[in-house]
Amino acid sequence: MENSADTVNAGPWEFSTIDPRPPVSFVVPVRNGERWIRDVIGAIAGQRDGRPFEIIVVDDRSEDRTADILHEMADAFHLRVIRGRGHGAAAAVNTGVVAARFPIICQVDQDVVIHDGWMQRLVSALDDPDVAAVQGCYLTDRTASVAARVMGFDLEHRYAALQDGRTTHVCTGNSVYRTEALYRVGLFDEQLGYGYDNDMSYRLEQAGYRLIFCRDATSTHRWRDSLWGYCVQQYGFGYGRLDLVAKHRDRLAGDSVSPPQMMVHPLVMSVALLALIASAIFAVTAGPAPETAIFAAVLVLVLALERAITGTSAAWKFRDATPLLFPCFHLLRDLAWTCAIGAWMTRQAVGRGSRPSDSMDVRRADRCGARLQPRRTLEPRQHAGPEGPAYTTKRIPARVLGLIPAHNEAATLPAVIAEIRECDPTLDLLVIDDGSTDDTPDVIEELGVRWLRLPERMGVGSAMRAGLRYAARQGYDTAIRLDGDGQHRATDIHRVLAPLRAGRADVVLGSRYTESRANASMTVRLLQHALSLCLRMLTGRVVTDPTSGFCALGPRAVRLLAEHHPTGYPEPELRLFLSRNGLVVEEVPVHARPRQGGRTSLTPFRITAAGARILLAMIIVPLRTGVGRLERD
Amino acid sequence: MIDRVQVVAIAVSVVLLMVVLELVRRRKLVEEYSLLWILGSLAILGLSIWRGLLDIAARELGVFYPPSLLLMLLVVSVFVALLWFSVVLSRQRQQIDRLVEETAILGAEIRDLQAKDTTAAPEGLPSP
Repeated sequence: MENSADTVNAGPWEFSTIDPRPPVSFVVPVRNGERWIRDVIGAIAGQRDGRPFEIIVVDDRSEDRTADILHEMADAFHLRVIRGRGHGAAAAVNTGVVAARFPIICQVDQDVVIHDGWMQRLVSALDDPDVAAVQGCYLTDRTASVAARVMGFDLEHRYAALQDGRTTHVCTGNSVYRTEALYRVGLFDEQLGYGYDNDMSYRLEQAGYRLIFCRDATSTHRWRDSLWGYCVQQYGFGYGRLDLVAKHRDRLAGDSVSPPQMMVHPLVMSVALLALIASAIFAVTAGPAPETAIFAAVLVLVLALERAITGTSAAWKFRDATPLLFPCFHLLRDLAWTCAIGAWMTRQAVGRGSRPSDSMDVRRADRCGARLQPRRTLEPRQHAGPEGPAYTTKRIPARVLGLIPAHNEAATLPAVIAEIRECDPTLDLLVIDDGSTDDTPDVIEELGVRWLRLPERMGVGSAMRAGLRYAARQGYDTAIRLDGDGQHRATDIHRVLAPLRAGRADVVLGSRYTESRANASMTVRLLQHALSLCLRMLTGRVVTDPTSGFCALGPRAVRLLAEHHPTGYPEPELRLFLSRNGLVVEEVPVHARPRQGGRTSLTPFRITAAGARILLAMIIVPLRTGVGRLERD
Repeated sequence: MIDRVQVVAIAVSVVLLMVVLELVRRRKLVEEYSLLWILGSLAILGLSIWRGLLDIAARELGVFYPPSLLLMLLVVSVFVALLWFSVVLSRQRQQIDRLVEETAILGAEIRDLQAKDTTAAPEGLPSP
């Protein structure tokens, strides 16, 4: 790490000739961005690779704690903080561009967290002198709220259509520009709100430059969480698009990121709304009211159908159910755009100037205040950044506690404990007696293991929560769950713990069926298959044994589940819950055997009830926002 | 003016109101949950005193037989009350879960402390 000021001469865009790699200036415009700005700047600082490098933050008159945060970070991260003029996002970016000293400008927005290698990949695309701008790829944060995920998947789906790496629109906030090219076409148009980046792209193309899309340079965009925020932003997008189209008439059909069908949508929606209004008028004036209403309904249905088809293909591609909501959200988007068309045309008609909004409009503080704790900075699967997830770093050896939830398992418990002690004498054990009505408590006491006793039967989820909370208070950071009925072999304990010890996963599940399901009955096998398939769709991971209770939990999982372990018939729901909260789950094969004694608690009625619960969980859990606690890691 | 049905209706709703208030007074019913019942009995009282209201509402809504509107209101309010009670029940279930889990943990911690105590205490001085 070096201070860029040491290696740079004073003049504009001059740099050391010793290092062949071009130096870069990061430009981050921010207004009221206290929620993410730490993550954003931390991720940028993680891109340093020794070349001359500067980070310019343009604080466009923030009214929240952004200024304090920037002040705190300024020294450690060598920030240049510039005060903006308060004229919106395009003006703030221009301020940053003018202040930049290097020939390449990486423009990152206040809610974009870039991933490792982002800068190198994008900058290397500028080696070709014909290329003026390169755009990175947003990956969807699967732990975000529903509205944010819809936004993310929609964009990711549209990016996926850009096959050959060329694009006609470099989106702002996640892009690299050649400084010289920006000056040649005359910087960003400050009259525009949303859409100033499209305008810049179109002008660069007209000047003969090429624009590139780089799929490997990934980042996470923190989209707005609420449905209302989504609609407000879409209204802004629609309004900005009208100003843009007014300036570039030939771009009415959109560009490669906003394909023609997306541009047609709001127009069709406007026609449908007009038809609806007409039918209301006809209802009074005795015109052909029903026919007009049916016409409007058909138009809306066609729109919904088109979105449903796109959503289904996106859902299949991303192995995530969220895009199935495209029809609902995108009809709302069309409505928002229609409102924007109405507002824009009204202002034009009465001769008032355009009043665009942009990404740096003041966002209401209450919405951000709901979750001031920043989320996990980084996508777990892609990379580890400057403060990467805990499991990628070397740790002190874990303290492991074996948890055995037991309800009326007096017959099998002694054998289970004896087997574990034989295989792994050093493993500490905790039996959680879930309100047993037989002599399980006496048996446990004779065995000389630690135990918890729930005075009433609360279910295995509750038992696990109690056990995990006790484990955490006693200083254990890792837990492994075994069943009290002897289904799980103690010899598999090491196998299940191995991926945790290697730092590959937060949770490891022992799967009884990775090899075959031969020793289960026909109905059970069929149910298991159906459940696996659903979970696979929803989590995007291979799930071979959805009801396995044999699992090892790493520190992050222990902390999360000590408070939020699902109850009822928790295993499949647990699976969804873990992936919903961004924990890395791995499966390892284990040997299963039939229960060694006692009676199974499963009756046909209970299996049906469990099925209904699991079905409900599969619908509800993906719609929930991730639990906030993890963010304090 | 006042017919017998109205007298009975007023009497019943007043009694209902009194019963609710008496339950609150004796702390058999927590204020939080009594509000729903007080509002309900006040609504019935209001409707039985001003009977025209029901007829007006029925006419405006296009209900042919006004008493059926009363029945519908009743069904809807019972439904809302039941849903609310389910929410309360769920909350209490979560609280009970949490409490039971905590008692189990506390029990174990007490045992740990006692074990430490007996091992730490010198010979001949058994811990209480």
